[in-house]
Amino acid sequence: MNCDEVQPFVSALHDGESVPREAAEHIRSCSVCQGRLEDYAKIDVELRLLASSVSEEAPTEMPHLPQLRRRWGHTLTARVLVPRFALGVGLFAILGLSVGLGWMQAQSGGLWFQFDLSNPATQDRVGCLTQADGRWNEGFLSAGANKRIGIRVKASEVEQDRVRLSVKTRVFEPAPGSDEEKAANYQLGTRSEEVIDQIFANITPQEFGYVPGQTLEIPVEGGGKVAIKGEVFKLRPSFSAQWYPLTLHPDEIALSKAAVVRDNEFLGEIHGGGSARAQNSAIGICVPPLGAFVFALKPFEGAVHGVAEFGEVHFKMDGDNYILFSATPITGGQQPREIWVYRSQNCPPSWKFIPKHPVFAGTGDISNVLDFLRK
Amino acid sequence: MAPVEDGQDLRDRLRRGDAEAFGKFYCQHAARLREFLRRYLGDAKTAEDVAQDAFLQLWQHPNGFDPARAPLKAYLFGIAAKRAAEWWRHRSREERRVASPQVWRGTESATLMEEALERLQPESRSLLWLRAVEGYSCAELAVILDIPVGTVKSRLFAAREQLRRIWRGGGPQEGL
Repeated sequence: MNCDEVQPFVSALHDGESVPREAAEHIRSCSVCQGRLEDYAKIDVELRLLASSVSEEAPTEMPHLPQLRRRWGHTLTARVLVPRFALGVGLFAILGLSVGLGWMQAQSGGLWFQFDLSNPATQDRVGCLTQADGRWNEGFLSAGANKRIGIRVKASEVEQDRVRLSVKTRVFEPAPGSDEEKAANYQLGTRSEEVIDQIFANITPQEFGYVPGQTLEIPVEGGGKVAIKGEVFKLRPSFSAQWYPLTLHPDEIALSKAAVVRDNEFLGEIHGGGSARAQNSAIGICVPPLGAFVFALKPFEGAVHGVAEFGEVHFKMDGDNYILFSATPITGGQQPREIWVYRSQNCPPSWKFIPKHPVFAGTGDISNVLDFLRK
Repeated sequence: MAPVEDGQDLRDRLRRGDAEAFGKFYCQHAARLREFLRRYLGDAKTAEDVAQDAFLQLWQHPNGFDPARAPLKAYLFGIAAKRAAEWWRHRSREERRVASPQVWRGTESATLMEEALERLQPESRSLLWLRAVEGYSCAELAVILDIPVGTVKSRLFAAREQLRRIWRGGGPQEGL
């Protein structure tokens, strides 16, 4: 190799890199190339000396730093690099979710129809929840004295603005202690279906096109009327209205999926529900560790005054502000209305367990609920 | 002033918009960046403006570099080099000529080196400066200047040889 060929390797050698053996041998034996190598080193030194004369200068004023803001416009429109594998996985996930969603919708079986059945004459009510699944839903209402109104409702179509219903209904007077009476009081267990079939055996179904939100009155075979009023939901309502009607009697009290709050502190939720309709309808709940609270629609000894408005009761006790929430209206009649609340320091003494979360502690007339709490 | 670690902690602080960390980083590197730019651009005021722009860009886009490839300081110099190159491209020949001759005069040898350096192309000047003064490796220079490592090596050789010839009393070869 000659000097011209070796020149680039001199520069590389100066940068601390290894060079081919031939080039190294030439540089070792060539005074010209060694001189070039020395010049490079001197140049570097001179450059550093130049720099050292200015590097101690005081820094100028730092530029004004603008407030950093998240630039959503840029963030949303900026392009991002996505590996093909990740893109494939993403597309696969989207496809899978779409199929899964479709499957879930297919499994859900369509819209839900939640409705109340009531006897306008007695104000007795019961709630139901169904789909267009061709199955009968039963309800039994008081019709005065020992008479009962039996109703069977089947939805053949449930749409957002229209529900097609088949309804069988009749008045009957079950014999005391009979299977019919037990079925009508929901006390027959697994044998009730057979008995109920017998109750409605010879009733001709009536067909209706029902518009959700309206009240549909249906003549009852044997006299009287029943009313249907309900709504359509895309998803199954989180609580079953079957035992907790959306519209209550003025003398009725009910709780479903209730929760208690004291001065913005969440004390707990009560699963399930309960209702009472009596002379002074009352519901007791145990809220550990505070004790038991009893809510009644009429004043009673030791109770404080509260205000009920649809799904809430507000009351003040011992300097604390309480709110009782319910997923359904707590009572019927004109809202807001007065309600009375009593607090017992302890849950029923007979309980062998101490609940960790709020639970029901009796429903019925106030005297019965208070008796239960004292037992 | 204690030096600021050019590591993960500093990057995290800058990404969080920590003005104090940025201030320390600025004080540590502003003078050297300005000097590098002055060598590149040949004009102290322009160098100051470009340096401020580079720091601002770093402040506003602290995620714009890959810490695995080069330290934060290299990212700063890379921003500055690009800005300086843009400045050169958008200036007329007359503006470039006027911008050239503001040099610091010191000892005789320093003056000789200063004058030799001035006669190089701006890109060659900046490359030699970054290698000799700032101590960047060829790999880091490739990141800063956004060119292949092989190109960095060949340009370094050409720039050294050109400067050597001028410094030794010759003139720059055509094309260098």
